[in-house]
Amino acid sequence: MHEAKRKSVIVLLVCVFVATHPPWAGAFGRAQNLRAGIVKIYVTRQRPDYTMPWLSRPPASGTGSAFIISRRRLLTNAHVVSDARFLEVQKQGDPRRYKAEVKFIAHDCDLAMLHVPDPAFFNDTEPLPLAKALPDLTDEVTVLGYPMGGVRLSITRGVVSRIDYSTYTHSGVDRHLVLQVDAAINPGNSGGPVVFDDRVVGLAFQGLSWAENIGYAIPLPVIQHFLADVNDGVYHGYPELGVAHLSLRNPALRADLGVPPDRRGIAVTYVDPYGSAHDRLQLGDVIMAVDGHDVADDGTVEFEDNRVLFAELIERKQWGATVMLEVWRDEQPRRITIPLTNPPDPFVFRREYNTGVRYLVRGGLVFSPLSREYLLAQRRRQGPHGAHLAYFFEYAKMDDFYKRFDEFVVLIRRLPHAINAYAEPFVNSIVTHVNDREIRRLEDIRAAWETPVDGGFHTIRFAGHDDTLVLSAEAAKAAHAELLRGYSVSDDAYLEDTP
Amino acid sequence: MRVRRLLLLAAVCAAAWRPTVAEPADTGTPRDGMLLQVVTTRQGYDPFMPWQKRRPATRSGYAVIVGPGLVLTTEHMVRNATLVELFAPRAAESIPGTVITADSQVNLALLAVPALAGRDAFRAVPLADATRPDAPFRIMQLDKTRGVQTGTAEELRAEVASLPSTPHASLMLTLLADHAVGGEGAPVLQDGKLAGLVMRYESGERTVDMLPCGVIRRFIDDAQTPPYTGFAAAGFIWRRLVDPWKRAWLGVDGYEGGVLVLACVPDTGADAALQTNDIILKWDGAAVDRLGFYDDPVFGRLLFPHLIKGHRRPGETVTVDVVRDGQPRQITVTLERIRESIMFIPSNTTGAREEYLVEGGLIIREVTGRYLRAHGNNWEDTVDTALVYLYKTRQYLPERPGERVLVLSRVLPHPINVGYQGYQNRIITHVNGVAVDNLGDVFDARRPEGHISRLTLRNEGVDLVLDADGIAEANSELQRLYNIPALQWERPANNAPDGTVE
Repeated sequence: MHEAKRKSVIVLLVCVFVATHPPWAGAFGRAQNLRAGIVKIYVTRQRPDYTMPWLSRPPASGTGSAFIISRRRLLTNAHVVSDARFLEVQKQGDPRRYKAEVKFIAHDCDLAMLHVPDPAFFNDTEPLPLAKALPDLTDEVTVLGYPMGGVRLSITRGVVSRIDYSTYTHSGVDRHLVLQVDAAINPGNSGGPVVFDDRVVGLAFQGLSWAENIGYAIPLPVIQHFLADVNDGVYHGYPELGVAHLSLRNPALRADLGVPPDRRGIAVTYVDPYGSAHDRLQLGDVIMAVDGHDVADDGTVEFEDNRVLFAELIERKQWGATVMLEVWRDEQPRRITIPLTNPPDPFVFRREYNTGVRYLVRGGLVFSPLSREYLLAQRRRQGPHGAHLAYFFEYAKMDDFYKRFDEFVVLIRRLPHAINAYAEPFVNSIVTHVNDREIRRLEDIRAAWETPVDGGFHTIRFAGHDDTLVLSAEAAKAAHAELLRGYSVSDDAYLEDTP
Repeated sequence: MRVRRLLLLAAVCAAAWRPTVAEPADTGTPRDGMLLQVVTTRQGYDPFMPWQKRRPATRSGYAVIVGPGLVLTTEHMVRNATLVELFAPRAAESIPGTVITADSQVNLALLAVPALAGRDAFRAVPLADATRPDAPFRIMQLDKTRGVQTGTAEELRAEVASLPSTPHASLMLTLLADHAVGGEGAPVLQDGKLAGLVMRYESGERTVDMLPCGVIRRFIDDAQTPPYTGFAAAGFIWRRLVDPWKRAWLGVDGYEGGVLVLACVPDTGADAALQTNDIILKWDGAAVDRLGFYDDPVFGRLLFPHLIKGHRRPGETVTVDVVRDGQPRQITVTLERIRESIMFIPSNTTGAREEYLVEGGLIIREVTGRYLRAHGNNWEDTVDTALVYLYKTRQYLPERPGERVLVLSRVLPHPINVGYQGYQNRIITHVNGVAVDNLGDVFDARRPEGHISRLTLRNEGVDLVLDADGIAEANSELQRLYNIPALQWERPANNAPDGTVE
C-alpha cells in the first residue's frame, strides 16, 4: 500500500516536470549555468617503486574533473589528486590555469577537497548545489566532465540503473554505496558531477573496463559523509564495527544460541581486534536490532523505505559516534552501546598514497613491510613463496598474527653480491627472527643487526621455512658501502612513519 | 570413449591384414614374443563428489613378459584401471590382465596374465644381471603396423630424479634414442636381456628416461613373494649445504662435504634418529658431498637417497655420520617403507579412493594434493590461502601422528543446512564438541549420537548446528535428491591408501 502511494507521487512529479520543462531545454538551458562550476584538473603524479623502494617511478601527467561547491571549495576524486607533484585547475572558457592545493583527501571513499588560493579563480562561477536525496532507478541523470577524446567540457546522459554496495578500487578494500548509471564514464570524467534536476547527486569515479554503458558514481550520502567529516578540519574516515556474522536462517542454530522463536537476527562469528566492537561484542552474540531497527535473519534492516544491510546504518555515522545494538547473549537480551572509535588497522592493507615506502638494506638484502602495493607491484604470486605472502595478507588477524607482528617484514629483494650469494631462496618470505631476536616491525631489524650472534654471524629466520639464512657479519659490514654504491641506493634505510 | 575404443579395435584389425615387417638381421635382436601393448581403461573418483567416479578414459603403452603369465609395465599405466587389456604384436585379440602389485614409489606394476602361461609364442625375457651404462641399449616397441620395431640408444647420464606422474624419485638413466619412442613401459634390452623399462620419452631432445634393472629385479622378486615389502625410505627433508658462512655457523667449515637435515617426518626412523640442523657427512659408509652426491661404483655421481631406496630394504638399519651441534657422531637410522598415509597432506597422485562423509548435506573430507589440484591449474591462486600455505609448508609434517587437514568441502543445499550453504573448504576442528584430527576421528565422534549435530570450523566463532531430530530424514532425502549411493566411505582398517595395490 505504502509502496504504491509513493510510486504515484513520483509519476505525478515527472508529469509536471515534462509539462513545464521540455527535456532538451533542461539539458541545454540549465546546463549552461552548471558549466561554470565544472573544472578541469591538470595533475602530474609520481609513485614510488615498491620493488626498489629508494626509486621513484616516472612522473605521469593526466587530467580529471572537479566541481565547485559552496564556500569556494572544489570536490574531486582522491584518485585524481593522489601522489600529486603538480596540480592546476582550469575553468571552461578561461585560458588561465590556477594552482590548486589538496585540502582534505579521503582514500577510503575516494573523495578529495581542493583549495584554490587565487580568489580570481572564483570570478563568474556558481557553486553546484547538492541534492537533498538520491534519484530513483531509471531517473535520467547528466554526467559532466572532461573525459578523454577531446579537450572541452563533455556532457553525457543516462539513467540510474542500480544503487548498490561495491568495492571502491582506489583503496581496494572499502565498500560503500555506489550509483550505477548507463552514461559513459571514461578516464578524465573522474571527479565530475552527476546531476539530477540541476543538483549534484553523485561524483563520477569508476567504470568497468570490460563492460559497456556501466559507469559508477559516488552517491550523495557518501559525499555528505565526507563533507560532514571534514567540518572540524580533520578527516577521520569511516568507522568500522568489525564483526563477521552468520545468518540465523537455520532454526537449529537459532535454537542452539537460545534465541526465542519470535526474535530474528545474525550471529557474531568473528570480532575484529581492530574494530569498534572489540571487547564489546562476543562470539555467538546475536545482533537483533541496530539503533532500533530490527535486523532480519539475512542481516538487513528497514531503512528509509528500503531494505538495506545493517552496515548501511553504521555507514552513515561519523567516527566517534555511537551505535546501539540490541544483542541476545546468555539467554537474555541486552543493550550494548558501542562508540565507533576503532584504532588505525595496520593489517587492513589498503592501497597506499602520498607516502614513501619504508625499507632497510642490510647485507645487500632489502627488507620492506608487506603491502597491497608490493603484492600488486611484484605480480609474482607464482613464485615459490607467493602463497606465504597471500596467506599472511589474508589471515593476519584471523590466525592471530597481529599479536606477534606489528607488520610483516618481507625480504623483498637481494642485491646480488658474494656476501649474500645463497639468499635467493628466501626472497619474498616474511622475516620472523634476526640474530635470534623477534622481529615485530622493520625497525627491529635495524636494532637486531647491531648484535651479530654465534661469534660473528647474522642469522635470519622466515615464516614457513625450516631453513635459516646466514651471513657473515664482518663481510656484510665490509661490503655495505660498496653494495649501496654499486646499486645506486641513495640511502640504506627509509624508516619514517607515514607522513 | 566408446568411439575411441572402436577406432583402436579397427586399427588392430587393419594391422592384422598387413604383411609382417621383416626383422632386422641382427643376432642380438630378441624374439618379439616378449613385447605386449597395454590398453587400460581408467576411471578415478571425483574429488568434489567422492561417492562417484569420473568419466572413463583409456591409456595405451607397453608391457614386457617377465615370467610365466607375468607381465611388467608402469604403475601409471594401470592406475585406477577398470580394465587392463594386452595385445601381442600383429595380433587382434585382447588378452585380459589383472594387477598383482603396483607401486608408485618406483612406477612399476606386475600383472598376472594367465592366458599367456604355457604358450610357446610368448617368451619371458630374462633380466640382465646389471644395467651397463657403457654398453648400447635396444628399445622395443610396435610400429604403425603393430609390427615389432627396435631402435638403439646410448646412455647420456644417470641421475636420481622424479618419476613421471608421481612425487617419488628414483635412479633413472637418460638415453639418447635414434628413433621416436611411442610409450611408457617399453622394454630396454642389453644383449637380449631386460636392462630397463621406459618411464618417459622427451620428443624434443629424443631422450628416454629409463628405470634400470636393479630396481626392476627388486620389485618383481618382492611382488612375487607376498607380503609386498616395498622400497625403503628414512623420512627426512634435506637441503644442499654450500654457503660457506652457513657451514661456518653450523660448525662444519672444516669438513669437505655434508648436507643439512631440515625436518623429519614424525614417527619415522629418521624422526627417531636425526634432528633438524644435523649435517650428514656419510650415509651408509659413503661420503656425501655438499650438493648431496656420493660416488656410485657403477653409475658415478648420484644423489645419496639412492643409497636408501636402491640399496637397502625396509626394516634394515644403516649407520650415518653426522655433525650435531658442532660435534661429529655416528647414529643408526632404521629404514621403512614410508606410506603417504603418515603425511599431513598426502598427495594421492595415484588417485586412490578417498574417504568422505556427507551429513546433513555437509561434505566432509581430508585435504590431499589430488583434491587441491582438482581446483584447476591455478589452484594455488584460487584455493583458500590457508590451505595452500599448509600444503606448501607442512605437506609432510603433521604435528601429531594421524593429523590431517579436515575440511567442510562443500554443502549440498537442503532445508536442514540453510544458512551454511556458502561454506567451502573450511577447516574443521571439532565434531559434536570433540576435537578431530582426521576423518577417522569424525566417524568416532559421530558414533555415540549416530549423527553429527555440531560442527566447529576454524576461525568461525559459532558452531554449525544441525537439527538432530531431522537429520536422519534429511540424509535420506539428500541421498535421493543428489543421487548419492553411499553417504560415507570409510577405508577398511587393513587397506592403507598406498598399500600393495595402488
